[in-house]
Formats: sequence, structure tokens, C-alpha cells
Amino acid sequence: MTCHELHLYFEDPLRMDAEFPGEAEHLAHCTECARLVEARRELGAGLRLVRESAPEPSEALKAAVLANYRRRITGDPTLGRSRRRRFTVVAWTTAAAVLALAGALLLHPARRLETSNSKLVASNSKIESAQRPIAETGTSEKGANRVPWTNSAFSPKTRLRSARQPRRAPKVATTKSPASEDFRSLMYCDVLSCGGAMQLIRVQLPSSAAAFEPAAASPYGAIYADVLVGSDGIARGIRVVR
Amino acid sequence: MEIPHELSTHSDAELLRLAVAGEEEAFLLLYGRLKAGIFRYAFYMTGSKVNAEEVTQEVFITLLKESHNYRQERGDLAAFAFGVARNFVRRIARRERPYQALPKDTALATLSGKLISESDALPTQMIRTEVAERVQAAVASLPDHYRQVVVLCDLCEFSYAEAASRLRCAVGTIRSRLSRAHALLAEKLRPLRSPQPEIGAAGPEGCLI
Repeated sequence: MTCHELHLYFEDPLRMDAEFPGEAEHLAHCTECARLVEARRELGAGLRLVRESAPEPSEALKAAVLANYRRRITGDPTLGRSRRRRFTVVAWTTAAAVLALAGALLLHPARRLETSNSKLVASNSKIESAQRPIAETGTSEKGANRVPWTNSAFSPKTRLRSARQPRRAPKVATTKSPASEDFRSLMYCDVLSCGGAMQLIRVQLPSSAAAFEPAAASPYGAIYADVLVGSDGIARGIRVVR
Repeated sequence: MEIPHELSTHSDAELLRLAVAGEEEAFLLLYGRLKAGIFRYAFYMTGSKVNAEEVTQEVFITLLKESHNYRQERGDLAAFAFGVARNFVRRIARRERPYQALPKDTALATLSGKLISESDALPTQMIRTEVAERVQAAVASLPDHYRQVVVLCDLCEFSYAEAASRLRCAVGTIRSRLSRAHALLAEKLRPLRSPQPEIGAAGPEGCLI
């Protein structure tokens, strides 16, 4: 027998505890193989020891498993109730989420219009307050800052309509509105590109900037102009306040 | 509880079907057939009797709950149950990873207690306890794929074919892994087995006096 044969024999895990024929004579001369065989046998004995000393599952485990089985089979009312409760919670949560989503979708365009309108009101009130001293000196027309087409947007009727038809762009925002006739277009603007709510902002400009309308030149070196600003922040048109 | 004789001829899958239908005897018979393998596997993989019992219980609950997911053509029910047990063992290992610093588990203490019997002389008992603990620690320190085969083949006494079906690999893979695992275990246990070098053998540089 050679060392190679012995190694091959003990490579098989099943032969950990087996005895190789003619092993004793070989091991008496070969310390390397003797060490290998001894290690394998010790390992086998250790594993056997661990295996034999393993605990058994307790009776309590069996009772618990059986109780679980009975609860499941007999249809424990608490199991069903918890399942029903879970279903109810999920159903109500889903319904609430759907309602919230629908509400947000319905209210969103109306809210946007309202916001733009309130901005317009604020800007108008600012303009009004800025205009007051000018009006007192008689240089400004009474009600020049009044924009009839924007006022129509404030009526509750309009607001309701816009809430019902959120996709329709308000007509007041197009360049075809009556008030827009006085405005000079600052860019190419058609119904599509100028859709959406617009803001009217009154600005003070140096009279030299109003070269497009020489008649507007003011002896004070400054003029007032209304600028139509789209929802994207880009100015669409300008009108000099006479 | 007395198990009817005719049920004992049924396969595990049939017993599960009957158990789900409400036959308690079938469930008890199935429990008796599967519990030992699952419990032992869970015990050796988690090193704790409490965890092993938890895994065993969860496996049977899952079998009842998920019985519709079992396909007989994919393998026997024991393999399916073993797969469930393996997942629970992994879950427990993940859960208890931060708490694994304690060297002595309650299971090891139980093991030590069981190893000591009245008939054994004290030195023998101590050696047996120490050897078992050392081997168990060495098995626990093996890489997972080697540890699985050692636990299944050496400790749970599954055949190679059964282990291969549980681990979904070839029988040859089981054999080679087991051979490698034994070599690794022998290597791990060698420092404790080899005798301590005597002082005289250390040479003059080892002597401080």
C-alpha cells in the first residue's frame, strides 16, 4: 500500500471511520499518513459526539404547532377578524387616496387661476397706489389701470366655470382680448403660445426707452407702461399709459 | 395520539393535502416525519434550541399557509419544507447578527449538561464536552456552503442524494464539498490536537533565564 492509495481511500467522506485493509503496517512506518488518519478519525468521533448530544424538540413545541394547526383549520375567529380588519383598513386607505387625488386634480387648475388672479389683484392695487399721486396732478387718466377683461375673471361665475372646465385656457389671456388691442406685441405670439393666465405689471420706464411711441414722452423723463407677462415669466406685450 | 395505520402508507404530499383538509392525524404524522430533520438542521445552523424550535414551528405554519405553492413535480415535500427552514434560518441569522458576541449559547450549556452522565468519570466527561464544543465551534466557523453539507450529511445523517435534493445541487458537488469541509475541519481542529512544545525543545533563544 502506498501513501497515495491511503489518501485516496480516506478522501471519501464515508470512510472517515473505516479501516483500510493493511493500514496498520503502513501507518507504523509513515508518520504523515498516521497523522492524517488520526485527524480524520478524531473528526469523525467529534462529529458523532455532537450528533449524539443534540437536543430533542420539546413537547411544548409539538403542543404549540398543534394548537396553531387547530386554530388555522377550525378557522379561529381572531384570524378572520384580523384579516377582515386589514382588508377594511386597506379599502378605506385606498378610497381616501383616490378621493384626495381626484380632489387635487379637480382643484389644481382653479387654484392656479385663483393664484394668478390674486397676483393680478395685488399688482393692480400696487399700481393704483402708485398711480394716486399722478392722478392728483392730472397727468394720468382716471381708470387707466383698469383692465376690463381681467376683472371678468374675478366673478364667482367665472371661477366656477374654470373649476368645472380646467383644461380650457381662459380667453382673457389670448392676444385677441379687447384690452390687448392697445398692447404692442413684444414677441411672436399666437393663441397657442400665449395661452394661460397672464399678469399685468405696471412699470416706470425712462422716456427714452419708449422710443416706439414718441407721443408718450414725458416732460419728467419717465413714463408708465403696462407689461403683459405670461405664466412662464416672459413679457408678451407692452402698452404705454397715457 | 394513535395514528391510523392506513395513513402511514401515504406520501408526505398526500398527508399535507389531508392535513389542510382538516385531518389532524395526517398532520401529526407529517409532523412526526419532518420535525427531526428540520429541528436538527435549525439547531446546528443557529446553535440555539430556542431558535431551532422557532424555525420548526414557523416551517409547519408556512406549510399549512403556503400548501398551494408546493408542486410535487419539483421535488418531495421534505425538500420544500427544508427550503422554508433554510429561509427562516437565514432570517434568524440576519436578526441575531448584532448579538452574536456571546461565546456560550444556552444550547451549548444544555449540550454540556447532557454530555455529563453519572456513569462517566469526570475527566472523560470534561474531555467529551470540550471535544463536542470544539467541533461544533469549528463547524460553525465554516463557510456557509461547506457548513450546510456537514450539517446535513454528518450531523443530520442525510444521504448524499437527500442532501443534494435539499440543497438543489448534484451528488458529486455534495461529495466534493464534504471532502473539502472535512479537510478544513481537520485543519481547524489540529492546533488543539497537536501536543504543546516542551520548554527544552524551544532552543537557547527561547530561554529567558
